[in-house]
Amino acid sequence: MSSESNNSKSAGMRPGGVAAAGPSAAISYPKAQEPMGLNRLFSLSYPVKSGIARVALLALAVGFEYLSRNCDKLKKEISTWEEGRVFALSVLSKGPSVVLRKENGAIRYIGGNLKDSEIVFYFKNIDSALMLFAGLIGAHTASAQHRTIVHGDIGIAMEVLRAMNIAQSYLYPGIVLKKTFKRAPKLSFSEQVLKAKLMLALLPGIAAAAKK
Amino acid sequence: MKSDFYEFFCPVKVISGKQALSNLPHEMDQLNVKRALVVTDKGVAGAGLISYVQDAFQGSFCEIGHIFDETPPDSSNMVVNQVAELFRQKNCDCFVAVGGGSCIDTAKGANIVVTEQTDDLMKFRGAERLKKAMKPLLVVPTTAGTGSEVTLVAVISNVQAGVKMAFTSDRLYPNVAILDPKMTMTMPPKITAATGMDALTHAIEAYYCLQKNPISDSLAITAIKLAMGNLVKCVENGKDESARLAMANSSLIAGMAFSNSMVGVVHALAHATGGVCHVPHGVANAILLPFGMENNLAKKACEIGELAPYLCGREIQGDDRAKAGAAIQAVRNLNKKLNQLSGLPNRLRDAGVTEDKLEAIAKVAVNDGALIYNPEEVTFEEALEILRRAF
Repeated sequence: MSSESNNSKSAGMRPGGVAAAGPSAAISYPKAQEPMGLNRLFSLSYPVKSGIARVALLALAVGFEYLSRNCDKLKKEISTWEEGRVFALSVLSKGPSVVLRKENGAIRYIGGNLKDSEIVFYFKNIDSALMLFAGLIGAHTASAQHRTIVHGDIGIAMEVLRAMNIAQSYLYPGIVLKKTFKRAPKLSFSEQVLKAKLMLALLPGIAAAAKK
Repeated sequence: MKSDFYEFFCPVKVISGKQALSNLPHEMDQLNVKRALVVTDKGVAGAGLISYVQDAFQGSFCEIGHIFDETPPDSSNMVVNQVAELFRQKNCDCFVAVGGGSCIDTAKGANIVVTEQTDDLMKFRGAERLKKAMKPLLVVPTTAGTGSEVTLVAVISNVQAGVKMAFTSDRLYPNVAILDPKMTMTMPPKITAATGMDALTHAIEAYYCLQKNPISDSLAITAIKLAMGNLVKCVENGKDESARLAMANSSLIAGMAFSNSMVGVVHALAHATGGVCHVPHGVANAILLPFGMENNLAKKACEIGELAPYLCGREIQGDDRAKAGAAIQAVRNLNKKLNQLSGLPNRLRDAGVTEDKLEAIAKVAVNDGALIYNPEEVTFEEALEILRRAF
């Protein structure tokens, strides 16, 4: 007799899988295993995860601000955007948000109020946001797996997404970019220098942004 | 993406077969509605297809409240608002869309306006913004290509803003899809060919794009088998009822597949080609499909190769690349055959596209949402290269 049919018997099931009448013994499950590696992130409490997501979103916002003034690729990408374009990233339902606006040709972080955003990229839950921030999945995979949704014009969202990909290419190490991008960007020497400068500016930038 | 995480949803009741249309009033009754606003277009009405719908209501307690037959080829917010106003004025309680993608999208759009009590669709653009239960929508397709009868998408032009508004929501799925072969019988050969290639493109892109999953895979393969076995028959003999029904099923099943797995670069370019040069969607898809498949060969040779037996009608020997090459060649051969039979264009230049428009098309295409789901990254330059090859 197979182990499957043995299990069916011990769980009070007939061989065909239909529950037998009368009382049956409770199934005893082995204790769930502790998550390993980066998966530990998902077993943290909601406030901690929300805090991490907020810092990650602020890092993205600060990176966006810095690169929109210093990175030629990003400057070119946003050059066709209308002044005053407001876009945001937010975690549903009560998670953190960052709102950014194009002002004087550059991107500026303007806080967390989604009210005036014409484009909002929503993560459906905090774990989905963390998967992206931890470099486990890329933006296109998050979208393909329905972990994110977009409110607003899809054409504009695609423009913002391209700009966001440029910003991410300076925020993540190459090994993560290889895993999460369809085609990992290759940074030139001057771009690597810019990446290093951004890393130095990131912490004070996040601290300042957190006060907004 | 491997299928390690996916969502799949399709709540549409499908009724398929000869005289299936006669079930329409019963289905309305099951949905507890009695008075339908029929949304159609002049072509459908002119072909006498609406009289079939009217006949179906005989001997039933359900009735047609009004027939709106002025749906344009590209539905707009103005038309949608007009249909919604008629719905209220005529005290209707459900929509019955009879036609192709534009009629179905118009009914979906009007349903948003009625349900959300708004005349500004702009604020519902994007994904999953519709929360209220909508009015029942029953769909009777008269083309076999769009698959809109089983999709969660509606695309409506905003005339004032000059943009195409895209809506996706689980609320936008119709309640019932009725496939009756007599409703597609009058389609001329060239439109049959173009819409059939639209269905085939949905199925093929669904099979290798990033949102693919085990359920959409099996649907895509079934849709491909039906299309490869019946599209040419429909074009050769439009009166072949069983081939027409098979193509209607191919389109519907491909619709179920791509609504849950999305499409890629072929659709992004076809949408843009339609927007810039007014090339019909099915024609643009047919022309661009082999080039879009080639674009993804480096990453998806295995998946494209898996389609070879269904596209070629026989097992193909060799590695993934050889099988994928055979699959692409089979699509080209089909296009050639349809060109001989119906005049379906095989090159963009034959479809009214001029070379000076290619850059404008590529520019629009890189902002199309379908590109997210294309396995290969596609830049402006790469989009332009694909267009040049298809020109």
